[in-house]
Amino acid sequence: MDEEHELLINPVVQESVLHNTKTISDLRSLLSSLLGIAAGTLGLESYAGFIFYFVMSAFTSLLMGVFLAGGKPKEYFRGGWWDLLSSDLIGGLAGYVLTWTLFLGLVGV
Amino acid sequence: MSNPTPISIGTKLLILFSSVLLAHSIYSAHEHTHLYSTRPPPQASTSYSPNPQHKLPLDIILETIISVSLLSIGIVLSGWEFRPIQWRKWAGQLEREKGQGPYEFLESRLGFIDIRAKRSEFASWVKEHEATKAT
Repeated sequence: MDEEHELLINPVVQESVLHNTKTISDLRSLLSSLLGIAAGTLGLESYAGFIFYFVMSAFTSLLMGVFLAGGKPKEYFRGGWWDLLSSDLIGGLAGYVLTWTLFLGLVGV
Repeated sequence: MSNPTPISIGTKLLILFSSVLLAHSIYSAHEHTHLYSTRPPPQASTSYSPNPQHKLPLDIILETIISVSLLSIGIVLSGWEFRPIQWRKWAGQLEREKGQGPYEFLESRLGFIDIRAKRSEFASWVKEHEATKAT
C-alpha cells in the first residue's frame, strides 16, 4: 500500500527504466570481457579470479554511478546504488570467464 | 546502442592510450612466462614447487590493472547515458531539450491559440506568395 501511494505521487517512467537497465547490461558485458583479459594476463586461478571479477565490477559500477548517474543513482534506478552494483552481475560473469580462460591459455601457460 | 552525446577527443585518446598499455602488458606477461618456461630451473633438486608458473613481476601487474581501469573509464565515458525515471524530471528534460513533452496536448488546446499571431503569419505568407507570383 505504501509503495502504491509512493508510485502515485512520484510516477515512474517504464521506458526509461528499461533503457537504463539495457544500458547497464550492455556496459557490463563489454567491461566484464575486458576484465577477463586482465585476469588471464595476471594468471589468476580459481577463487582469486572470481574475487578479482567482483572487486573490479564494483569499481566499474562506481564509475557508472559517478560519471553517468552524476553520483545520484536514485534518479535513474529504483534501487539506487544497490541496483547499480548488483544488476546483471551474473550475466557478465559468462563473458568474463570466457576471456579469462582464453587469455590464461594464451599468456599464462 | 544509442549515442546521443559525441565522444570527446580526450576520451578517444584515453581509450587509445590504455589499449596500447594493455596490449603492452599482455605482451610483457607472455614474454615473461615464455622466457621462464624455456630457461632451465636454477637448482632443480633443492626445492620442488607444484606450480611451475613463476610470479609476474610487480610492474606488469600494475600496468595491467592500471590499463584496464583506464580503459573502463574511457568506455564508460564514451557516449552512454541514463534517462531519469521520475516522471517529472523526465518530462522536464523532454520539454527543455525537444520543446514538447508528454503534456503538450494541454498546451495546444483551441483556447490557447494566439489568433493574432496566426493571422499575421497568414498575412505575411499571402504577401510573400503574391510577391513571388508577380515576379
